[in-house]
Amino acid sequence: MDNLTGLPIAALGTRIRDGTTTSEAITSACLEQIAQTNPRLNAFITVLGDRALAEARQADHEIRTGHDRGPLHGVPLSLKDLIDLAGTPTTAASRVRQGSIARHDAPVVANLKLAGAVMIGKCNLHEFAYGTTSDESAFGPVRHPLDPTRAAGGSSGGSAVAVATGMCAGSVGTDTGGSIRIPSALCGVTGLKPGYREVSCAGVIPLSWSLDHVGPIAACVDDAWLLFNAMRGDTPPLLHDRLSPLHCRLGVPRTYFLDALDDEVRARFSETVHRLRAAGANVEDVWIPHAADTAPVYLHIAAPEAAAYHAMAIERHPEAYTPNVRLRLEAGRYILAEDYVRAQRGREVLRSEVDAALRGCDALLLPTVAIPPPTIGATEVDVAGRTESVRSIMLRLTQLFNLTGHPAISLPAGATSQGFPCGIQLIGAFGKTQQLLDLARACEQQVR
Amino acid sequence: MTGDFALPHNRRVEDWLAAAELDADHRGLPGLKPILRLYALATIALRAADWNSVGPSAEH
Repeated sequence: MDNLTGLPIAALGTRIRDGTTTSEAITSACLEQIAQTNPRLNAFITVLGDRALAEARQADHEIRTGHDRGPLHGVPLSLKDLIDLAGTPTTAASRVRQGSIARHDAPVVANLKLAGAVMIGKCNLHEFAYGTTSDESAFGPVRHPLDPTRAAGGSSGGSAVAVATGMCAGSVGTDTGGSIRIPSALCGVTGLKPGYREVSCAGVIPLSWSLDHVGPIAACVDDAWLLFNAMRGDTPPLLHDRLSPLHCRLGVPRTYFLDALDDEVRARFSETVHRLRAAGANVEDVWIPHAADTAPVYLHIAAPEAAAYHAMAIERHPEAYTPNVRLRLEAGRYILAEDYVRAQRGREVLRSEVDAALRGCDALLLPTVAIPPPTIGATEVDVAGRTESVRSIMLRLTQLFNLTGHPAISLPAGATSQGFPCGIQLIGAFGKTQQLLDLARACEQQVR
Repeated sequence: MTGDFALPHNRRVEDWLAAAELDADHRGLPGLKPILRLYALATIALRAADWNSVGPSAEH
């Protein structure tokens, strides 16, 4: 049973179709893995045991009788518990949502169901996705698989842990400042933030409407590609042969992005660049002139948008929020409209600068997270001789691409001396997510 | 937030921060004040960015 967990989706599909196994057996193996592992890591809020097994048996019946829905048919997936799945609670990891049951599937869920996926459960997260560590949740912190005293990253921490430990074959997360890519990098899996509005955010509790993205967390780029296309309701285009990194042009935005990195993260990134060059990639520096303005621009958009969504609930039930998330939401209500407008102007400047940087290359290349997984509950961390807030340093390398809407993918790329995974990000041109995925496939084997 | 926070004289960041901290105290939320101080630093950086001196806002 064990060898059915942790396999890529394509391999599961092959085994289901050649009769080696069944969706029911795979789903049972994942449920067994959840039973063994989840009490320690707290990745799931809701496990849909019987319901998932019924869906798996239905998938097996359909495949046996010739109604094959494609590569996701019978594959067990999880959802960040911010996303509506009809008939189940959408808790957002908050007591504020107590008793709320989704009446409809979010479109992204409906599309995955049409593709035959089995929904195995809802994953833990940072409350209302407003944090980077997943350690502020009404259901307790998500814990890192390699060291339960450390955070898994967030806000889609439960989803990343679930995929990393074989509790499901893939998961759907959300990313407002890095919430798919950050936990994916820290847990050693692959996370895709598609381009803005490429995947529907309907039926997903918003954090910041103009920064929110929905995307897959998966074991590898091929799986992320399958999930991304299914989430959009697209018939997947043909998989290209694996490209060689030869002749691809990658731009490293060194200034700002490489200024504050943990020493080991920096060393792994340098090795990654060396490996890609050795494989034939042309890696050159590029410049995003206003990159250092990213954090203030982001804050003056994210904070008031989040505060606007929560304004009524926080007036009625302030005590129902976890303390720090409540304070963050309250603080957003003090931002002046004129500063929100200034930030929107800055966002346009940043967007055009990322576009310009991408004109000379196929993708931008940078680390995903500047530090290894922080200790649960830590608010500050030392990075390269400076004390940084955990929240700021975790967001530093990812949040720009929420502002600009460019597609971004995090891939596993080596590990620290203690074994904690490191990640790299590839950023593609807007509207070119499929090409970004092709490039990520080409780089994947070189950088692991 | 209390209803009288966002007054015109709060356009200077120092005044904004003082008013916001006073409001936080009034509401019994002293834990807000460190966050508001970080926000004030971010607002200073935002307003100092050079794009603010180009285009429509510079015409006034």
